[in-house]
Amino acid sequence: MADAPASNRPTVPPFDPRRFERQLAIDAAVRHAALMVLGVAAALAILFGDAGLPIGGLHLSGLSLLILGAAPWLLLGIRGAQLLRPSQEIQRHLDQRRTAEAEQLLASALRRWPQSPRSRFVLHRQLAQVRHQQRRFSEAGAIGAALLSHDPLLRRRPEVHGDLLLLTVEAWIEARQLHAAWQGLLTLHALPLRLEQMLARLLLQVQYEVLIGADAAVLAQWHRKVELAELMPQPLCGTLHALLAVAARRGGRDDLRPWLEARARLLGPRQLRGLYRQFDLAARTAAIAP
Amino acid sequence: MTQPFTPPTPQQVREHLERHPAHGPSWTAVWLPWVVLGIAMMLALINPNPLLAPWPWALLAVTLGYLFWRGRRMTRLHREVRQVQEMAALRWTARALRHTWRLVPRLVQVPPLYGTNMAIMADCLDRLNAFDAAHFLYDHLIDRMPAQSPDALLLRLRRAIVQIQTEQLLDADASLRSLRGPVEEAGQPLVALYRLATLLQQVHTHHYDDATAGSGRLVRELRPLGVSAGFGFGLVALAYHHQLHHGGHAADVAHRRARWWWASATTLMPAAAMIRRFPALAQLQTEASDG
Repeated sequence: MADAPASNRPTVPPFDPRRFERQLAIDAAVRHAALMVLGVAAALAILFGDAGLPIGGLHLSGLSLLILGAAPWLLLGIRGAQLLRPSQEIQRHLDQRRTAEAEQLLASALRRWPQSPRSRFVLHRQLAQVRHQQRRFSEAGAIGAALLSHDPLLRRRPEVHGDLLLLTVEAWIEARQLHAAWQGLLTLHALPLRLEQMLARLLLQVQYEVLIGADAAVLAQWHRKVELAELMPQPLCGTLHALLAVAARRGGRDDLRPWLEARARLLGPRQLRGLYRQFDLAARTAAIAP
Repeated sequence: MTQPFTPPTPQQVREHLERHPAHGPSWTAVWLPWVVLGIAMMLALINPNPLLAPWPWALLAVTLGYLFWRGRRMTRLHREVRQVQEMAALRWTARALRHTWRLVPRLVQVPPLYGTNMAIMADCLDRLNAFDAAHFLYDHLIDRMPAQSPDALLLRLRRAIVQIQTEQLLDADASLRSLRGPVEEAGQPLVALYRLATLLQQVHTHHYDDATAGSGRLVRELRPLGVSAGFGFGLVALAYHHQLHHGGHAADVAHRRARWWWASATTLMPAAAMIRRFPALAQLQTEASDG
């Protein structure tokens, strides 16, 4: 079957935090109701187990009561698992940066009901990634903030917490919501992170410090930062070198600047050109690209 | 007194792997929980009031306890392999190698983690210049992977580089020829690593004109390797350096270019690290320090 034209593809409406909270509350209410039904059925099974419970013309045994009571709970669990299945395909699209396809799948997955809080959380985390890839940073930041405000969903999964917070802080920095970004960076420093997450945090922190003009902070322990930059994938390594070069140039560190610029030219000339243009440093620089 | 660290020989690696081959989870580990759960269900079904019968609950608790313990154990193994991966990334190579060695017996029931651990071990051996042991492990891993997967292509490229460094030039040439198409399909950073491997081959076989041809694009071509591009810059500097002595180029142009490429290489990597990996580069360092 041919793919739908891009303009006809279903899309997810703009994120509304109040609607999201309402949906989560309804999901939780449905879940609690199913749990209550199970509890009542279990109590009835204990009370009437041996004799059975006459309802209408039927005579229900303890086991039948238990099965009937567990049915809504089980159905909700199955439904939640079903909704998590498209999330794997969505993630594959996101990893290959096929954002339109990911959004199309998300649009249909988010319309389904009822959802478990976990499936809604996972799908919205992916929606934040979609918006991030679409460079709709304010919306990505808003989704991230809404998800991060739900501690119980994150408490048991510090790795997911770290990834989500990194994505959100990056969105805040890109949207120039610097106060929120600063708070996010503080939280990131308190979380146990993997090495790759620590490297991403370092890059975000340097980006933030360059944006607020804290050049001395950027260049503090520059040697260690360069060592860590060398562990990053090349585009990020180039970006970090370019940011350090910007700080060295603005901070008048002529002892460091030529070396950092030379490395940035070799590792990420595009990033260096972009940042020098952004901070109006290009006019004072000779041709940057090799 | 602590003994100085020496990486294992290929024979030691082979014996270690033969003692602890990957075999996946045992039959009982996979099916026993389901059998016990089935028995618990049967006991519940034959009981008029299953909620008050102790045996199904006891069996259910035992099964859940076992599954919980197994899950915790898997999480711990994943975490340990990830920590070793991070040690290797941080270039704590000898320490990472020791940990991978000790992890092998504990990973035999988890083949994917076993394979990842082997790949880290091969990488560590390669970086410690234990080329024969690394070659053995690359062979071991490549034989057990789908030939065209990106991971297999990466390992085959690394094996080709090791083959060049251990003078198995015919094997390396055949490997590089067979890899050209698949690597171009796979994209970066494999294309850049392939370019580095061909550069090494050209310098190793004294084809200096081939090595310097197209050097104008080399910075862009090797950029996806990050700071490791420094190795490539060092090799092309060496090629220009040899042209200087063989008279292939106008001597002053070759001299200037050799100096420029060596300066670029040392901007990205310490000269000592490059020389440790490719000892022939030492002559460039000597010349640079002589001025």
